[in-house]
Amino acid sequence: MESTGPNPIHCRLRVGVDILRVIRRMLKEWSGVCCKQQRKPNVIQVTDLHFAYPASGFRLHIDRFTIGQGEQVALIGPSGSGKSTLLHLLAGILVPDRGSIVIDGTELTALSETARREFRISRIGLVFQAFELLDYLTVLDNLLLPFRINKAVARPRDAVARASQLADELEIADKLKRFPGQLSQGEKQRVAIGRALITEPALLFADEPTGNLDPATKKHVLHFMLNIASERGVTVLMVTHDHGLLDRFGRVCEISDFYGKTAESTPTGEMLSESTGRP
Amino acid sequence: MNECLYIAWRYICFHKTKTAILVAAITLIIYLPAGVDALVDESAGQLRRRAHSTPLIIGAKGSETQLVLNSLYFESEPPATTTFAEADRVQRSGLATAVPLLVRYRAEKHPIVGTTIEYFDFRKLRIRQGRLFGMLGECVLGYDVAKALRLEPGDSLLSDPEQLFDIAGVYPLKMRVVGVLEPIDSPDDSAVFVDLKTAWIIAGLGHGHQDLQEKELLKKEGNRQTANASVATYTEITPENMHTFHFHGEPGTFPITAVIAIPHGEQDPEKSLTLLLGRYQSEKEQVQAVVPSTVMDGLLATILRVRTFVLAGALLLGIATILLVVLVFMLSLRLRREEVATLTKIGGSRSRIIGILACEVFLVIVSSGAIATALTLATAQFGESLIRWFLL
Repeated sequence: MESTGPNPIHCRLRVGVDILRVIRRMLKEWSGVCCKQQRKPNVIQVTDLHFAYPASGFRLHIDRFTIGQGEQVALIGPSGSGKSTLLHLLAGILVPDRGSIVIDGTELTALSETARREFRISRIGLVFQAFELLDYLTVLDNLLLPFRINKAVARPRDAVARASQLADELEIADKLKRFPGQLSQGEKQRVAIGRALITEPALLFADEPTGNLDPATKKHVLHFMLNIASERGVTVLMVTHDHGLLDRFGRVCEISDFYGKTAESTPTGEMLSESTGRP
Repeated sequence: MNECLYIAWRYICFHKTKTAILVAAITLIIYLPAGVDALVDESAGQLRRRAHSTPLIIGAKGSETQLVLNSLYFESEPPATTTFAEADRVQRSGLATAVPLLVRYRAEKHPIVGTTIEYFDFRKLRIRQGRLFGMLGECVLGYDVAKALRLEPGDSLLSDPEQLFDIAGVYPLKMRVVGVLEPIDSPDDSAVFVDLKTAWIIAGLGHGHQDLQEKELLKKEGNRQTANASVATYTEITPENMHTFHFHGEPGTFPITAVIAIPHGEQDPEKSLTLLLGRYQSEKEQVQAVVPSTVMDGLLATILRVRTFVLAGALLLGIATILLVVLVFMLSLRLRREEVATLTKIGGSRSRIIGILACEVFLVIVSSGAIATALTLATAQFGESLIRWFLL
């Protein structure tokens, strides 16, 4: 004989699940309220950003993306998903097709190219995977380079002292008179970090800065970068492929590779964008 | 601008070899026409000065240029000789002072100039060390000869044999150095001056030998005696053997390569010159009288024509080199595209980036220009010596 009526055990379980869902929702809302209360003012605010490389068919759309002041955020995603493109858009190197990018209270899309360069050199420090140091300048001259290439950042009187202090913190103080060709990979990247921070920017954008480093060195360099940035209250956004480094960041955001496929990452990630193709 | 210059300077210092090659190439572009121009100007000036200070040259008929170059610069193949009688003829005319020259032989590759004391007054040559020649076998050295051969009064100098394998030829003469001249930046600095008679001894027209013994005498016809080869011929004239030196023949028939005629008449030397010139216009004349300045002006006109061709060639070469340099800069810029991109990415202003690249070009061009200018000035300053060392 088969029973046709509702199974009392099943009914109780369903009620239990519903109760748990309600509790979870309440917890979620409560945690959201707490997060909002703790969240610092946004230093990066992206709204309805559209960008495309017509030749390759690559498109990037970010509905909304914010980073709070002093946050250290890792940006991950598959190759060609647009991580570096996003970084370049945020730095004002690329210009979006439409949408809004507000960096440190300035609407970037409203600025002329000259103004964007001036804004970039004074407010944003950039670190690249290939270090991109000038091989014919000494470490000291490389550190001081931002003061020499745009009149928007006047060279302070204590520029050399500031460079020496940075070099000291980055443990390259004894390499100031050397040329990049005489340095190890890790040292080169530390010089690049120093160059990015010499102007005391509000933001530090790093595009896979550990990509060319061996595992031991990359942790070392990352440690330097995040610590110094933290001490100076600099907001960090770093593009990386290396999932082993993500636990060093306060937040990890993943950018999807395919149409609408997005993923949320731990511990406090958020859905970021839609993109297609490769830049 | 200072920041651009600084970065550009660091780039140039770091890439020394590349910069040196570029600077050398651009320096050559600038220096080649400028240097040639300066050198030609200097050589033309030098040729003109010497020629204009020599009123008239009389010599055997033949190439006027050869006669003038030999008499003024002691260079070129010796012209056909005339006789000492021509010098007498000029002197006797009363229109000019005759300074005979015999420029044919050499000592240690330096020209031996057989002449008279008047030559030194005429060229305003002054003694630096020692004295002028006074005896047979003595010589006075130009400053450069003394310096090059490290000779001073009291030393001796051997004339070069004319034909090394001619055993019947005249023996080289060992000359005694009695004086060294002050330098005057002229061909005289590179000459060895001897008395005309000494030059004739070098030519084999006069000689000295031990007294003939009966057993050495082969033939005797009147005053003419022929001795066998065992008679020792002196190759050096000393006070002890000077009395044995003698000439066979009439001095008027002895050779000279030219006579410099210095017109008399302090008030109107041109008149004396014209009169003298007129005496050598006849078709029957065996000698010619040439005005060196006229000959040299003709020669210079040719040199200036050649200069035009050289400058045109240098211009074409310059254009080709400039194109190559532009290509090098463009390739360099292409190689440095990433560097420019980095500067742009970190916020370098367009004007500063262009400024850095422009400063590099500026520094290279300015360095080249400075070196080329220094070389051109050096050429103009020392061109006279250069010309004498390399050309004449």
